[in-house]
Amino acid sequence: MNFFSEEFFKEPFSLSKNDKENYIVTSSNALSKHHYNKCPEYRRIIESLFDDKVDADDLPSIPFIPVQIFKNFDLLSIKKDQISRTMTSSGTSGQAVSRIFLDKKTAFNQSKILNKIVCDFIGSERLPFYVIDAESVISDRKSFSARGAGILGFSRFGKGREFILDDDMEISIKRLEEICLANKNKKILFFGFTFMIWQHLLLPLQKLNKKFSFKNAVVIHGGGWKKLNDLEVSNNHFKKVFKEFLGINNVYNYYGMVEQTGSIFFECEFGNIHTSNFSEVIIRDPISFEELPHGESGLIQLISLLPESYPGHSILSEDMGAIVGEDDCKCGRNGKYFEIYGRVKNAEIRGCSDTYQNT
Amino acid sequence: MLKSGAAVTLIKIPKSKSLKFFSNNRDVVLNISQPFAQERIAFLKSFSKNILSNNNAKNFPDLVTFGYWCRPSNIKTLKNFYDDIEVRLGLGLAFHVAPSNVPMNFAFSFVFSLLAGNSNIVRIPSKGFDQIGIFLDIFNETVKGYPEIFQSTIFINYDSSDQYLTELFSENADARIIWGGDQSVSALKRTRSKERSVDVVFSDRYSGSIIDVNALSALNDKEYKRFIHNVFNDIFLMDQNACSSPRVFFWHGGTDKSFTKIQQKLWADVSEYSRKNYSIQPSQVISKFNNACIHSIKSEKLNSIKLHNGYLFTQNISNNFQKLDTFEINSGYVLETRIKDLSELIPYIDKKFQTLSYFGISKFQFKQFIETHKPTGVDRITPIGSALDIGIVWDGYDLIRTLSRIIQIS
Repeated sequence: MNFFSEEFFKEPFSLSKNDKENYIVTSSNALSKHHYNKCPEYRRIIESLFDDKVDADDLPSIPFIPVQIFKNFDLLSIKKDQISRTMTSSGTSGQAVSRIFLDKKTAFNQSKILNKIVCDFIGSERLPFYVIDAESVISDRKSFSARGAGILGFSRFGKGREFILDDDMEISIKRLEEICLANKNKKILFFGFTFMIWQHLLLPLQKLNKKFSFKNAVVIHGGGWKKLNDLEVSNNHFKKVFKEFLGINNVYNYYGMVEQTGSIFFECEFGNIHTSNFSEVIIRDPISFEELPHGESGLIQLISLLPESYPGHSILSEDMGAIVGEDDCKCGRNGKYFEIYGRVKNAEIRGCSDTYQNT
Repeated sequence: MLKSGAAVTLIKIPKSKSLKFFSNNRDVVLNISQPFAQERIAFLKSFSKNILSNNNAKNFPDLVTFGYWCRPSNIKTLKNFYDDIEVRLGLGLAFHVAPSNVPMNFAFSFVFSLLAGNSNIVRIPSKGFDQIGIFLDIFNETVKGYPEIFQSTIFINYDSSDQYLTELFSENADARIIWGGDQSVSALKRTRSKERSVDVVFSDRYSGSIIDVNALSALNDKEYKRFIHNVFNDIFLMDQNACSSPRVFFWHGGTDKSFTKIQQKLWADVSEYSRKNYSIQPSQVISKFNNACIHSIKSEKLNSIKLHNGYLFTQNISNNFQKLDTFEINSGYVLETRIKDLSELIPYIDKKFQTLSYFGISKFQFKQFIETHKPTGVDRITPIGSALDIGIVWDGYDLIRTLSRIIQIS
């Protein structure tokens, strides 16, 4: 038995406001209860911070845990011998990484739902698949980085798989020309991480002023805008460069995190990022954590109905965003759609306990 | 009174990439005096006047506080406290390593040592606090009229990887005043210093407050408002991250009913006051929330934690005893527990416990408590509202006496 309903499976963007709220609250309550009984750490948090109450009456009262906590503790709602795969977030070296533990069932559901969502945007036909990354990213099969997990997850939408960067993350123009020639006007799929694509494909092409025409190709990318925001590269500019240098119009960005693989949030043709039947977002005031009305910017709380093996079904992210609308996107998909403004800034706090090391 | 010691150039400071001078002096001249020497008091008088009349300085309460501290009337009061300065002299050269994230501690560190009679090399915080810039401008201007202080004082900063500079200063210093976390302090302590040099160490400490329930309940409106302001200052002025910022509140006495009533009222009012007076960043609240989750997971028994609109988190710790330094505390996160009797403080007051700020308990009660229980920790017991006031006696050191030597004439 799953915590999401199979009946909403065929059409992953079918649920509208009232039905969805009911369904998300009920399903999420069941998940909260499951983790409360199976994961002692999760239970402690609910006891201390949420008055020991897992049964939410409405969306905003669904309890949440900070995304950071997966870096501090190994949180499991299964026995250790049931772990089939461990995923880690891609932290910069020296930083703690999140560790997410999957059993067979959760891993299966993740790929099933990912499939449903992605096919809704690019169709169900398997496409020649080109990864804008180096093969070394997936060399370790037991433990996956977010990058590796993403590549493997999306590989199922492809026929075959080719990594188009070498191990030094260099693009071969010659190979790109061959691919272009071999797939003349055919629908092919490029996949990669936003920053990697910019750094190792789009920047070199701009520098060399080398242009291609992949007219019917589709690009799917994710991983966040933190580094590109620092470089002042916007989503629009990113798309523009893709069009100008590779001739690609269909560039889809998705928002997701290793803590909630599968039920990702996809950007539609109209630039809106959509929740599906398997996910929900709640925007909270970044200080009081009170729910904010549509249009107001706050912290994004992410709900996914997939995490069973670890208590990650309701997470308070460190990203700021706002809900743009609900059930009325021109693309025809139901559910809330939202915008993301990026990670909250780190505050420097005062204090007398660091003199020497960090100066 | 003795005239100040003769001038000898002590250290020529070698060039280094990361080394920056913030005073106009380059080489340190040894200039020793008696504690509270006339010239030094006169300098502080001008310095204080120049700070308090500076328009830019007005925007920085910590700089203004420092300016007030240096006024002649305050220095005179302090001086009167010492009856043995005639036979004391400064130790010589003091090397200060100031905390990097507190703007004004370096300034106090410097004047304490100046008043004790020493020459000073002060490594200032590397972070560019505006008030430090203003302090240095005023200092450099004021010190022009005081050549002996000019020659014997430098303000610098350099990268901690320039270990040879730390070694050079340590080899020449008669006292090192080291502020910092335990790790950085022990790194500095490993750097060789003169055989007879004195290390004054301000390492990681923590503090708490005690409130008598009946006394607080008895306050009138005006007094109560003042009290809220004081509690707010103690907790929030240094982002609750200074050694003397309270992390735990002990509620003393009262009935269950009177305690619950005043406790709920106090936290609601303090959080409302901080909403108006403290600009908190989302990342601080996110980090408090994460810390709250970590604390919940680590505790053996249920601890209720309240978020009070994000500004102030309060966590009840009565259910199980944990050492106070096992909690990650800053930016408005208070631990609390009820006690019937002062003796129940003992488990919490260990070597790392610095300041106990109080309300509604008499000095006499504390004296009795200290005499009876001889706690291993607590260096300072001071009214709530003054937890962050820095003084010439700090962390258990009398800095005038510690940074000077006594000459016995028999």
